[in-house]
Amino acid sequence: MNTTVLPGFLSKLFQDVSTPEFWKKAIGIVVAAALILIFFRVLQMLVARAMKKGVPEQRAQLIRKAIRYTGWVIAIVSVLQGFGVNLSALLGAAGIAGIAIGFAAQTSVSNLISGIFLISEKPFQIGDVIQVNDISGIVLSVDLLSIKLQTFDNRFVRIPNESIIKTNVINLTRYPIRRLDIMVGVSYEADLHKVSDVLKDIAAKNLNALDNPEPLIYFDKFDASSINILFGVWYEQSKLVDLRNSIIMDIHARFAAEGIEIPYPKRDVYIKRSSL
Amino acid sequence: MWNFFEPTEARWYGWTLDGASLWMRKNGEEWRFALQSIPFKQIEHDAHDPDSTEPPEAAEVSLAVARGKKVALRPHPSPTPYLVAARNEVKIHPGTEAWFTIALPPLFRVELESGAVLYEASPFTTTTTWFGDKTSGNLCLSLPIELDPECKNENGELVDSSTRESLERAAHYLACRSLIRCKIAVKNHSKEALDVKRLAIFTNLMNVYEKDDTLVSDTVVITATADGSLQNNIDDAGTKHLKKVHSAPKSGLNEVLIQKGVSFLRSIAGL
Repeated sequence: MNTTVLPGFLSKLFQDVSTPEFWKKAIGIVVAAALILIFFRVLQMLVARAMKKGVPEQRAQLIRKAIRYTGWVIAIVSVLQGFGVNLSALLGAAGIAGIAIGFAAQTSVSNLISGIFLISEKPFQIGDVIQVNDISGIVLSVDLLSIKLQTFDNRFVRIPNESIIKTNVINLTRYPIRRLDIMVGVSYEADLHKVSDVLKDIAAKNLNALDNPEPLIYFDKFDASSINILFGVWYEQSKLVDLRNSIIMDIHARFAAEGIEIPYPKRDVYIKRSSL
Repeated sequence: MWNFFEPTEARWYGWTLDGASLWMRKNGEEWRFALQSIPFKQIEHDAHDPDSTEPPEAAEVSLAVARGKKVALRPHPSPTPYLVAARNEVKIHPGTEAWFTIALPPLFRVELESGAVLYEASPFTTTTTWFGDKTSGNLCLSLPIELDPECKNENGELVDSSTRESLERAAHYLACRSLIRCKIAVKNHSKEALDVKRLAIFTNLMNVYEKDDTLVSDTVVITATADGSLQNNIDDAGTKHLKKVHSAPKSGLNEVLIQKGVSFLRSIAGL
Protein backbone atom coordinates (compact mmCIF):
# COMPACT_ATOMS: atom_id res chain seq x y z
CA MET A 1 0.00 0.00 0.00
CA ASN A 2 1.25 3.48 -0.82
CA THR A 3 1.31 5.25 2.56
CA THR A 4 3.10 8.42 1.55
CA VAL A 5 -0.11 10.46 1.31
CA LEU A 6 -1.28 9.52 4.86
CA PRO A 7 -0.38 11.50 8.03
CA GLY A 8 2.80 10.38 9.83
CA PHE A 9 1.20 8.34 12.60
CA LEU A 10 -1.07 6.51 10.15
CA SER A 11 1.85 5.70 7.82
CA LYS A 12 3.74 4.26 10.80
CA LEU A 13 0.66 2.34 11.85
CA PHE A 14 0.30 0.70 8.44
CA GLN A 15 4.00 -0.15 8.40
CA ASP A 16 3.86 -1.75 11.86
CA VAL A 17 0.63 -3.63 11.39
CA SER A 18 2.31 -6.69 9.93
CA THR A 19 4.78 -7.10 12.79
CA PRO A 20 4.01 -9.39 15.78
CA GLU A 21 5.14 -6.62 18.21
CA PHE A 22 2.36 -4.41 16.94
CA TRP A 23 -0.29 -7.00 17.73
CA LYS A 24 1.17 -7.59 21.18
CA LYS A 25 1.02 -3.85 21.79
CA ALA A 26 -2.49 -3.60 20.33
CA ILE A 27 -3.78 -6.36 22.62
CA GLY A 28 -2.18 -4.61 25.61
CA ILE A 29 -3.82 -1.31 24.67
CA VAL A 30 -7.25 -2.89 24.17
CA VAL A 31 -6.98 -4.75 27.48
CA ALA A 32 -5.95 -1.51 29.24
CA ALA A 33 -8.89 0.36 27.67
CA ALA A 34 -11.28 -2.43 28.69
CA LEU A 35 -9.93 -2.33 32.25
CA ILE A 36 -10.42 1.44 32.35
CA LEU A 37 -14.03 1.03 31.16
CA ILE A 38 -14.67 -1.75 33.66
CA PHE A 39 -13.18 0.36 36.43
CA PHE A 40 -15.43 3.30 35.59
CA ARG A 41 -18.44 1.01 35.25
CA VAL A 42 -17.82 -0.39 38.74
CA LEU A 43 -17.22 3.14 40.05
CA GLN A 44 -20.51 4.24 38.48
CA MET A 45 -22.38 1.36 40.14
CA LEU A 46 -20.81 2.06 43.54
CA VAL A 47 -21.55 5.76 43.35
CA ALA A 48 -25.13 5.03 42.19
CA ARG A 49 -25.64 2.73 45.16
CA ALA A 50 -24.20 5.30 47.55
CA MET A 51 -26.42 8.04 46.11
CA LYS A 52 -29.60 5.97 46.16
CA LYS A 53 -30.98 7.46 49.36
CA GLY A 54 -29.55 10.92 49.79
CA VAL A 55 -29.22 12.38 46.28
CA PRO A 56 -32.17 13.43 44.08
CA GLU A 57 -32.66 11.21 41.05
CA GLN A 58 -31.80 13.78 38.39
CA ARG A 59 -28.54 14.74 40.10
CA ALA A 60 -27.68 11.07 40.52
CA GLN A 61 -28.39 10.50 36.84
CA LEU A 62 -26.09 13.40 35.90
CA ILE A 63 -23.26 12.12 38.11
CA ARG A 64 -23.64 8.61 36.66
CA LYS A 65 -23.43 9.97 33.13
CA ALA A 66 -20.41 12.14 34.00
CA ILE A 67 -18.56 9.09 35.35
CA ARG A 68 -19.45 7.04 32.27
CA TYR A 69 -18.32 9.70 29.80
CA THR A 70 -15.11 10.35 31.78
CA GLY A 71 -14.36 6.63 31.52
CA TRP A 72 -14.88 6.69 27.77
CA VAL A 73 -12.72 9.80 27.30
CA ILE A 74 -9.85 8.31 29.32
CA ALA A 75 -10.14 4.99 27.46
CA ILE A 76 -10.11 6.66 24.02
CA VAL A 77 -7.18 8.93 24.96
CA SER A 78 -5.25 5.90 26.24
CA VAL A 79 -5.89 3.99 23.03
CA LEU A 80 -4.82 6.92 20.86
CA GLN A 81 -1.72 7.54 22.94
CA GLY A 82 -0.88 3.85 22.84
CA PHE A 83 -0.95 3.90 19.04
CA GLY A 84 1.33 6.93 19.00
CA VAL A 85 -1.21 9.54 17.97
CA ASN A 86 -0.02 13.07 18.72
CA LEU A 87 -2.81 14.30 20.97
CA SER A 88 -1.61 17.89 21.26
CA ALA A 89 -2.08 18.39 17.52
CA LEU A 90 -5.42 16.63 17.73
CA LEU A 91 -6.54 18.80 20.64
CA GLY A 92 -5.44 21.93 18.79
CA ALA A 93 -7.48 20.89 15.80
CA ALA A 94 -10.36 20.02 18.12
CA GLY A 95 -10.15 23.52 19.67
CA ILE A 96 -10.50 25.19 16.27
CA ALA A 97 -13.27 22.79 15.34
CA GLY A 98 -14.87 23.48 18.71
CA ILE A 99 -15.14 27.20 17.99
CA ALA A 100 -16.72 26.48 14.62
CA ILE A 101 -19.09 23.95 16.12
CA GLY A 102 -19.84 26.32 19.00
CA PHE A 103 -21.14 28.94 16.58
CA ALA A 104 -23.17 26.35 14.78
CA ALA A 105 -24.52 24.82 17.98
CA GLN A 106 -25.49 27.89 19.96
CA THR A 107 -28.92 26.46 20.77
CA SER A 108 -27.47 23.22 22.08
CA VAL A 109 -24.95 25.10 24.21
CA SER A 110 -27.72 27.32 25.54
CA ASN A 111 -29.74 24.23 26.40
CA LEU A 112 -26.71 22.69 28.05
CA ILE A 113 -26.09 25.71 30.26
CA SER A 114 -29.81 25.96 31.02
CA GLY A 115 -29.71 22.28 31.96
CA ILE A 116 -26.93 22.91 34.44
CA PHE A 117 -28.96 25.75 35.97
CA LEU A 118 -32.04 23.54 36.14
CA ILE A 119 -30.16 20.75 37.87
CA SER A 120 -28.59 23.09 40.40
CA GLU A 121 -31.75 25.15 41.03
CA LYS A 122 -34.03 22.09 41.34
CA PRO A 123 -37.41 23.71 40.58
CA PHE A 124 -38.75 20.17 40.08
CA GLN A 125 -37.60 16.59 40.33
CA ILE A 126 -38.22 13.34 38.51
CA GLY A 127 -41.76 12.22 39.32
CA ASP A 128 -43.12 15.73 39.90
CA VAL A 129 -46.07 16.94 37.88
CA ILE A 130 -45.28 20.23 36.16
CA GLN A 131 -47.03 22.60 33.80
CA VAL A 132 -45.08 24.42 31.12
CA ASN A 133 -47.29 26.74 29.08
CA ASP A 134 -50.19 24.51 28.04
CA ILE A 135 -48.36 21.21 28.58
CA SER A 136 -48.58 19.37 31.86
CA GLY A 137 -47.24 15.98 32.75
CA ILE A 138 -45.00 13.86 34.93
CA VAL A 139 -41.26 14.58 34.73
CA LEU A 140 -39.51 11.46 33.40
CA SER A 141 -35.98 12.82 33.19
CA VAL A 142 -34.02 16.04 33.53
CA ASP A 143 -31.14 15.83 31.07
CA LEU A 144 -28.48 18.31 30.03
CA LEU A 145 -30.30 19.36 26.86
CA SER A 146 -33.95 18.79 27.61
CA ILE A 147 -36.52 17.48 30.02
CA LYS A 148 -38.87 14.67 29.14
CA LEU A 149 -42.49 14.59 30.24
CA GLN A 150 -45.21 11.98 30.09
CA THR A 151 -48.50 13.81 29.66
CA PHE A 152 -51.72 12.57 31.25
CA ASP A 153 -53.06 11.46 27.87
CA ASN A 154 -49.88 9.38 27.59
CA ARG A 155 -47.82 11.42 25.14
CA PHE A 156 -44.08 11.80 25.36
CA VAL A 157 -42.97 15.43 25.32
CA ARG A 158 -39.42 16.72 25.08
CA ILE A 159 -38.98 20.32 26.17
CA PRO A 160 -35.61 22.04 25.56
CA ASN A 161 -34.05 23.32 28.76
CA GLU A 162 -33.74 26.82 27.29
CA SER A 163 -37.54 27.02 27.03
CA ILE A 164 -37.90 25.91 30.64
CA ILE A 165 -35.51 28.60 31.83
CA LYS A 166 -37.29 31.31 29.82
CA THR A 167 -40.87 30.46 30.73
CA ASN A 168 -42.98 30.06 33.87
CA VAL A 169 -42.98 26.53 35.21
CA ILE A 170 -45.66 25.48 37.68
CA ASN A 171 -44.78 22.56 39.91
CA LEU A 172 -48.14 21.06 40.72
CA THR A 173 -46.88 18.51 43.23
CA ARG A 174 -44.26 20.43 45.18
CA TYR A 175 -46.53 20.76 48.21
CA PRO A 176 -48.48 17.82 49.63
CA ILE A 177 -51.82 19.61 49.78
CA ARG A 178 -53.53 21.97 47.34
CA ARG A 179 -56.72 23.96 47.09
CA LEU A 180 -59.31 23.32 44.42
CA ASP A 181 -61.13 26.55 43.55
CA ILE A 182 -64.62 26.25 42.17
CA MET A 183 -66.66 29.28 41.09
CA VAL A 184 -70.28 28.79 42.08
CA GLY A 185 -73.00 31.15 40.90
CA VAL A 186 -76.26 31.48 42.81
CA SER A 187 -79.35 33.49 41.94
CA TYR A 188 -80.06 36.89 43.47
CA GLU A 189 -83.00 35.37 45.34
CA ALA A 190 -80.80 32.87 47.21
CA ASP A 191 -80.25 33.16 50.98
CA LEU A 192 -76.49 33.66 51.11
CA HIS A 193 -76.17 32.50 54.73
CA LYS A 194 -77.84 29.26 53.78
CA VAL A 195 -75.63 28.93 50.69
CA SER A 196 -72.55 29.35 52.86
CA ASP A 197 -73.75 26.72 55.35
CA VAL A 198 -74.63 24.28 52.58
CA LEU A 199 -71.20 24.68 50.94
CA LYS A 200 -69.46 24.09 54.30
CA ASP A 201 -71.55 20.97 54.83
CA ILE A 202 -70.77 19.69 51.32
CA ALA A 203 -67.04 20.03 52.04
CA ALA A 204 -67.40 18.40 55.47
CA LYS A 205 -69.15 15.36 54.01
CA ASN A 206 -66.83 14.82 51.07
CA LEU A 207 -64.25 12.15 51.96
CA ASN A 208 -61.71 13.58 49.51
CA ALA A 209 -61.81 17.07 51.03
CA LEU A 210 -59.60 17.94 53.97
CA ASP A 211 -61.32 19.55 56.93
CA ASN A 212 -58.10 21.30 57.88
CA PRO A 213 -57.19 23.76 56.34
CA GLU A 214 -60.81 24.85 56.35
CA PRO A 215 -62.61 25.38 53.06
CA LEU A 216 -62.66 28.93 51.74
CA ILE A 217 -65.97 30.60 50.96
CA TYR A 218 -65.48 33.95 49.29
CA PHE A 219 -68.34 36.00 47.90
CA ASP A 220 -66.73 37.28 44.76
CA LYS A 221 -69.06 39.65 42.93
CA PHE A 222 -72.51 40.59 41.70
CA ASP A 223 -72.46 39.32 38.16
CA ALA A 224 -74.93 39.81 35.32
CA SER A 225 -77.18 36.93 36.29
CA SER A 226 -75.69 35.54 39.51
CA ILE A 227 -73.82 36.23 42.68
CA ASN A 228 -70.47 34.50 42.25
CA ILE A 229 -68.87 32.62 45.13
CA LEU A 230 -65.38 31.21 45.21
CA PHE A 231 -65.49 27.83 46.95
CA GLY A 232 -61.96 26.62 47.76
CA VAL A 233 -61.55 23.08 49.08
CA TRP A 234 -58.23 21.68 50.25
CA TYR A 235 -57.19 18.20 49.22
CA GLU A 236 -54.25 15.84 49.31
CA GLN A 237 -52.57 16.20 45.91
CA SER A 238 -53.34 12.67 44.66
CA LYS A 239 -57.10 13.19 45.15
CA LEU A 240 -57.61 15.94 42.57
CA VAL A 241 -59.72 14.00 40.09
CA ASP A 242 -61.81 12.27 42.76
CA LEU A 243 -62.46 15.54 44.55
CA ARG A 244 -63.24 17.60 41.45
CA ASN A 245 -65.72 15.03 40.15
CA SER A 246 -67.40 14.34 43.45
CA ILE A 247 -67.65 17.90 44.74
CA ILE A 248 -69.21 19.29 41.57
CA MET A 249 -71.78 16.50 41.64
CA ASP A 250 -72.35 17.15 45.36
CA ILE A 251 -72.91 20.88 44.79
CA HIS A 252 -75.29 20.25 41.92
CA ALA A 253 -77.34 17.66 43.81
CA ARG A 254 -77.38 19.49 47.11
CA PHE A 255 -78.32 22.87 45.61
CA ALA A 256 -81.17 21.18 43.77
CA ALA A 257 -82.32 19.52 47.02
CA GLU A 258 -82.07 22.77 49.00
CA GLY A 259 -83.83 24.80 46.31
CA ILE A 260 -80.80 26.98 45.59
CA GLU A 261 -80.87 28.02 41.97
CA ILE A 262 -77.68 28.00 39.91
CA PRO A 263 -78.60 30.59 37.28
CA TYR A 264 -77.33 30.73 33.76
CA PRO A 265 -77.64 33.57 31.26
CA LYS A 266 -81.21 33.71 30.00
CA ARG A 267 -82.78 35.85 27.34
CA ASP A 268 -86.47 36.54 27.24
CA VAL A 269 -87.73 37.04 23.69
CA TYR A 270 -90.96 38.98 23.21
CA ILE A 271 -92.63 38.58 19.87
CA LYS A 272 -94.33 41.75 18.88
CA ARG A 273 -97.44 41.10 16.85
CA SER A 274 -98.14 43.82 14.40
CA SER A 275 -101.79 44.57 13.82
CA LEU A 276 -102.69 44.00 10.21
CA MET B 1 -64.83 -11.95 68.80
CA TRP B 2 -61.20 -11.69 67.71
CA ASN B 3 -60.32 -15.38 68.23
CA PHE B 4 -59.54 -17.93 65.54
CA PHE B 5 -62.34 -20.28 64.53
CA GLU B 6 -62.85 -22.93 61.88
CA PRO B 7 -65.59 -21.90 59.46
CA THR B 8 -67.85 -24.51 57.91
CA GLU B 9 -67.31 -24.94 54.18
CA ALA B 10 -69.50 -22.98 51.75
CA ARG B 11 -71.31 -21.06 54.47
CA TRP B 12 -71.44 -17.28 54.86
CA TYR B 13 -70.39 -15.83 58.21
CA GLY B 14 -71.01 -12.26 59.24
CA TRP B 15 -69.44 -10.04 61.88
CA THR B 16 -71.52 -7.18 63.20
CA LEU B 17 -69.20 -4.29 63.91
CA ASP B 18 -71.19 -1.53 65.60
CA GLY B 19 -73.26 -0.72 62.55
CA ALA B 20 -70.84 -1.98 59.90
CA SER B 21 -70.84 -5.56 58.65
CA LEU B 22 -68.20 -7.89 57.30
CA TRP B 23 -68.98 -11.20 55.63
CA MET B 24 -66.82 -14.21 54.84
CA ARG B 25 -67.30 -17.52 53.06
CA LYS B 26 -64.80 -20.36 52.73
CA ASN B 27 -64.94 -22.86 49.90
CA GLY B 28 -61.83 -25.05 49.96
CA GLU B 29 -58.97 -22.66 49.23
CA GLU B 30 -61.29 -19.91 48.04
CA TRP B 31 -62.23 -17.20 50.50
CA ARG B 32 -64.86 -14.59 49.71
CA PHE B 33 -65.32 -11.36 51.62
CA ALA B 34 -67.76 -8.48 51.56
CA LEU B 35 -68.00 -5.28 53.56
CA GLN B 36 -70.68 -2.77 54.35
CA SER B 37 -68.98 0.28 55.79
CA ILE B 38 -70.61 3.20 57.59
CA PRO B 39 -69.50 6.75 58.39
CA PHE B 40 -67.82 6.83 61.79
CA LYS B 41 -70.42 9.31 63.05
CA GLN B 42 -73.21 6.80 62.42
CA ILE B 43 -71.70 4.11 64.59
CA GLU B 44 -74.18 2.08 66.66
CA HIS B 45 -73.41 0.22 69.82
CA ASP B 46 -73.83 -3.35 68.54
CA ALA B 47 -71.01 -5.78 67.91
CA HIS B 48 -70.95 -9.54 68.19
CA ASP B 49 -69.14 -12.72 67.20
CA PRO B 50 -69.36 -14.11 63.68
CA ASP B 51 -72.66 -15.81 62.94
CA SER B 52 -73.81 -18.02 60.14
CA THR B 53 -75.78 -15.64 57.97
CA GLU B 54 -77.38 -14.92 54.63
CA PRO B 55 -75.05 -13.88 51.80
CA PRO B 56 -74.60 -10.13 51.40
CA GLU B 57 -76.92 -8.62 48.81
CA ALA B 58 -75.49 -5.39 47.52
CA ALA B 59 -71.93 -5.53 48.83
CA GLU B 60 -69.02 -6.05 46.47
CA VAL B 61 -67.36 -9.43 46.96
CA SER B 62 -63.56 -9.85 47.10
CA LEU B 63 -61.81 -13.15 46.58
CA ALA B 64 -58.63 -14.57 48.08
CA VAL B 65 -57.05 -17.94 47.48
CA ALA B 66 -55.09 -19.48 50.33
CA ARG B 67 -54.73 -22.71 52.24
CA GLY B 68 -55.90 -22.59 55.84
CA LYS B 69 -58.44 -23.89 58.29
CA LYS B 70 -58.79 -21.39 61.10
CA VAL B 71 -59.36 -17.74 60.57
CA ALA B 72 -59.81 -14.65 62.76
CA LEU B 73 -60.81 -11.04 62.38
CA ARG B 74 -58.07 -8.90 63.89
CA PRO B 75 -58.26 -5.17 64.60
CA HIS B 76 -55.24 -3.00 63.82
CA PRO B 77 -54.73 0.73 64.29
CA SER B 78 -54.67 2.62 61.02
CA PRO B 79 -51.16 3.35 59.73
CA THR B 80 -52.45 6.85 58.96
CA PRO B 81 -52.32 8.92 62.16
CA TYR B 82 -55.56 9.90 63.88
CA LEU B 83 -56.31 13.52 64.66
CA VAL B 84 -58.64 14.77 67.35
CA ALA B 85 -59.52 18.31 68.29
CA ALA B 86 -60.25 19.66 71.74
CA ARG B 87 -63.87 20.72 72.26
CA ASN B 88 -62.69 23.92 73.84
CA GLU B 89 -59.16 25.10 74.21
CA VAL B 90 -57.45 23.00 76.86
CA LYS B 91 -54.77 24.81 78.81
CA ILE B 92 -52.36 22.63 80.75
CA HIS B 93 -50.38 24.53 83.31
CA PRO B 94 -46.72 23.85 84.11
CA GLY B 95 -46.26 20.79 86.28
CA THR B 96 -49.72 19.38 85.56
CA GLU B 97 -50.97 16.68 83.26
CA ALA B 98 -54.21 16.02 81.47
CA TRP B 99 -55.68 12.65 80.60
CA PHE B 100 -57.95 11.94 77.68
CA THR B 101 -59.64 8.75 76.56
CA ILE B 102 -60.80 8.42 72.99
CA ALA B 103 -62.10 5.66 70.72
CA LEU B 104 -60.10 4.95 67.55
CA PRO B 105 -61.64 3.24 64.52
CA PRO B 106 -59.36 0.34 63.55
CA LEU B 107 -58.89 -1.29 60.22
CA PHE B 108 -59.70 -4.98 60.25
CA ARG B 109 -57.78 -7.85 58.74
CA VAL B 110 -59.01 -11.38 58.26
CA GLU B 111 -55.97 -13.48 59.08
CA LEU B 112 -55.02 -17.14 58.96
CA GLU B 113 -53.17 -18.76 61.84
CA SER B 114 -49.99 -18.50 59.79
CA GLY B 115 -50.37 -14.72 59.89
CA ALA B 116 -51.31 -14.45 56.21
CA VAL B 117 -53.76 -11.62 55.59
CA LEU B 118 -56.71 -12.66 53.44
CA TYR B 119 -58.65 -9.42 53.51
CA GLU B 120 -58.26 -5.91 54.89
CA ALA B 121 -60.98 -3.34 55.30
CA SER B 122 -61.86 -0.10 57.08
CA PRO B 123 -65.52 -0.41 58.04
CA PHE B 124 -65.73 3.07 59.54
CA THR B 125 -65.17 5.89 57.09
CA THR B 126 -63.81 9.22 58.26
CA THR B 127 -62.83 12.40 56.52
CA THR B 128 -59.19 13.33 56.26
CA THR B 129 -57.37 16.32 57.63
CA TRP B 130 -53.94 17.87 57.46
CA PHE B 131 -51.63 18.11 60.45
CA GLY B 132 -48.93 20.64 59.75
CA ASP B 133 -48.51 23.68 57.59
CA LYS B 134 -49.32 23.90 53.89
CA THR B 135 -45.86 22.88 52.76
CA SER B 136 -45.29 19.79 54.88
CA GLY B 137 -47.04 17.66 57.44
CA ASN B 138 -49.08 14.51 57.78
CA LEU B 139 -52.35 13.38 56.33
CA CYS B 140 -54.51 12.22 59.23
CA LEU B 141 -57.86 10.61 59.77
CA SER B 142 -60.14 13.23 61.24
CA LEU B 143 -62.12 11.84 64.16
CA PRO B 144 -65.42 13.50 65.00
CA ILE B 145 -64.55 13.13 68.68
CA GLU B 146 -63.89 16.10 70.89
CA LEU B 147 -61.21 15.90 73.51
CA ASP B 148 -62.47 16.43 77.02
CA PRO B 149 -59.76 16.15 79.64
CA GLU B 150 -59.78 14.53 83.01
CA CYS B 151 -57.06 16.74 84.48
CA LYS B 152 -55.04 16.17 87.55
CA ASN B 153 -54.86 19.31 89.68
CA GLU B 154 -57.74 20.84 87.73
CA ASN B 155 -61.44 20.38 88.34
CA GLY B 156 -63.64 20.25 85.28
CA GLU B 157 -67.32 20.67 85.99
CA LEU B 158 -70.16 20.14 83.60
CA VAL B 159 -71.79 23.48 83.21
CA ASP B 160 -73.75 23.38 80.00
CA SER B 161 -75.75 21.02 77.88
CA SER B 162 -73.27 21.04 74.99
CA THR B 163 -70.54 19.74 77.30
CA ARG B 164 -72.84 17.00 78.52
CA GLU B 165 -73.81 16.15 74.98
CA SER B 166 -70.16 16.00 73.93
CA LEU B 167 -69.31 13.71 76.83
CA GLU B 168 -72.27 11.48 76.09
CA ARG B 169 -71.16 11.20 72.47
CA ALA B 170 -67.63 10.30 73.58
CA ALA B 171 -69.06 7.70 75.99
CA HIS B 172 -71.14 6.27 73.15
CA TYR B 173 -68.02 5.74 71.05
CA LEU B 174 -66.10 4.31 74.01
CA ALA B 175 -68.82 1.72 74.58
CA CYS B 176 -68.40 0.27 71.09
CA ARG B 177 -66.59 -3.07 71.15
CA SER B 178 -65.07 -2.74 67.71
CA LEU B 179 -63.29 0.54 68.48
CA ILE B 180 -59.93 0.80 70.24
CA ARG B 181 -59.95 2.68 73.54
CA CYS B 182 -56.86 4.82 73.68
CA LYS B 183 -55.65 6.76 76.70
CA ILE B 184 -53.60 9.87 76.08
CA ALA B 185 -51.59 11.64 78.76
CA VAL B 186 -50.32 15.13 78.06
CA LYS B 187 -47.70 16.13 80.61
CA ASN B 188 -46.43 19.66 80.83
CA HIS B 189 -42.90 19.69 82.24
CA SER B 190 -42.13 23.04 80.62
CA LYS B 191 -42.27 26.44 82.23
CA GLU B 192 -45.14 27.77 80.15
CA ALA B 193 -48.80 26.84 79.92
CA LEU B 194 -49.58 24.45 77.10
CA ASP B 195 -52.64 25.04 74.91
CA VAL B 196 -53.90 21.86 73.36
CA LYS B 197 -56.15 22.38 70.36
CA ARG B 198 -55.48 19.36 68.20
CA LEU B 199 -53.64 16.11 68.86
CA ALA B 200 -52.24 13.72 66.27
CA ILE B 201 -51.94 10.12 67.40
CA PHE B 202 -49.23 8.17 65.60
CA THR B 203 -49.64 4.43 65.78
CA ASN B 204 -46.18 3.07 64.89
CA LEU B 205 -45.44 1.93 68.43
CA MET B 206 -48.96 1.20 69.55
CA ASN B 207 -50.02 -2.32 70.57
CA VAL B 208 -53.66 -3.32 70.83
CA TYR B 209 -55.00 -5.69 73.51
CA GLU B 210 -58.24 -7.36 74.44
CA LYS B 211 -59.59 -6.37 77.83
CA ASP B 212 -62.98 -7.52 79.17
CA ASP B 213 -64.40 -7.88 75.69
CA THR B 214 -63.15 -4.47 74.59
CA LEU B 215 -60.08 -3.32 72.65
CA VAL B 216 -57.52 -1.14 74.38
CA SER B 217 -54.22 0.28 73.26
CA ASP B 218 -51.05 1.32 75.02
CA THR B 219 -51.20 4.75 76.59
CA VAL B 220 -49.88 7.56 74.41
CA VAL B 221 -47.77 9.94 76.49
CA ILE B 222 -47.00 13.39 75.13
CA THR B 223 -44.55 15.34 77.22
CA ALA B 224 -43.68 18.98 76.88
CA THR B 225 -40.15 19.08 78.23
CA ALA B 226 -38.34 21.83 80.10
CA ASP B 227 -36.24 22.69 77.05
CA GLY B 228 -39.39 23.46 75.07
CA SER B 229 -39.44 20.32 72.96
CA LEU B 230 -42.27 17.85 72.70
CA GLN B 231 -41.85 14.10 73.12
CA ASN B 232 -44.26 11.41 72.15
CA ASN B 233 -43.90 7.92 73.58
CA ILE B 234 -45.88 4.84 74.50
CA ASP B 235 -46.51 3.53 78.00
CA ASP B 236 -47.43 -0.15 78.20
CA ALA B 237 -47.29 -0.48 81.98
CA GLY B 238 -51.03 -0.87 82.39
CA THR B 239 -51.57 -3.17 79.43
CA LYS B 240 -48.57 -5.52 79.48
CA HIS B 241 -50.51 -8.36 81.11
CA LEU B 242 -53.38 -8.26 78.59
CA LYS B 243 -53.89 -10.48 75.57
CA LYS B 244 -52.31 -8.82 72.56
CA VAL B 245 -54.30 -8.70 69.33
CA HIS B 246 -52.00 -6.35 67.42
CA SER B 247 -48.26 -5.89 67.75
CA ALA B 248 -46.74 -2.54 66.89
CA PRO B 249 -44.79 -2.56 63.62
CA LYS B 250 -41.86 -0.93 65.43
CA SER B 251 -40.27 -2.48 68.48
CA GLY B 252 -39.12 -0.70 71.61
CA LEU B 253 -42.15 0.07 73.69
CA ASN B 254 -40.76 3.03 75.53
CA GLU B 255 -38.68 4.27 72.67
CA VAL B 256 -39.04 8.00 72.22
CA LEU B 257 -40.97 8.59 69.06
CA ILE B 258 -39.74 11.58 67.13
CA GLN B 259 -42.22 12.11 64.37
CA LYS B 260 -42.35 14.69 61.66
CA GLY B 261 -45.69 15.76 63.05
CA VAL B 262 -44.29 16.50 66.45
CA SER B 263 -42.84 19.79 65.32
CA PHE B 264 -46.25 20.78 64.04
CA LEU B 265 -47.87 19.56 67.19
CA ARG B 266 -45.44 21.77 68.97
CA SER B 267 -46.37 24.80 66.91
CA ILE B 268 -50.07 24.03 67.12
CA ALA B 269 -49.89 23.39 70.82
CA GLY B 270 -48.37 26.84 71.16
CA LEU B 271 -45.10 25.85 72.81
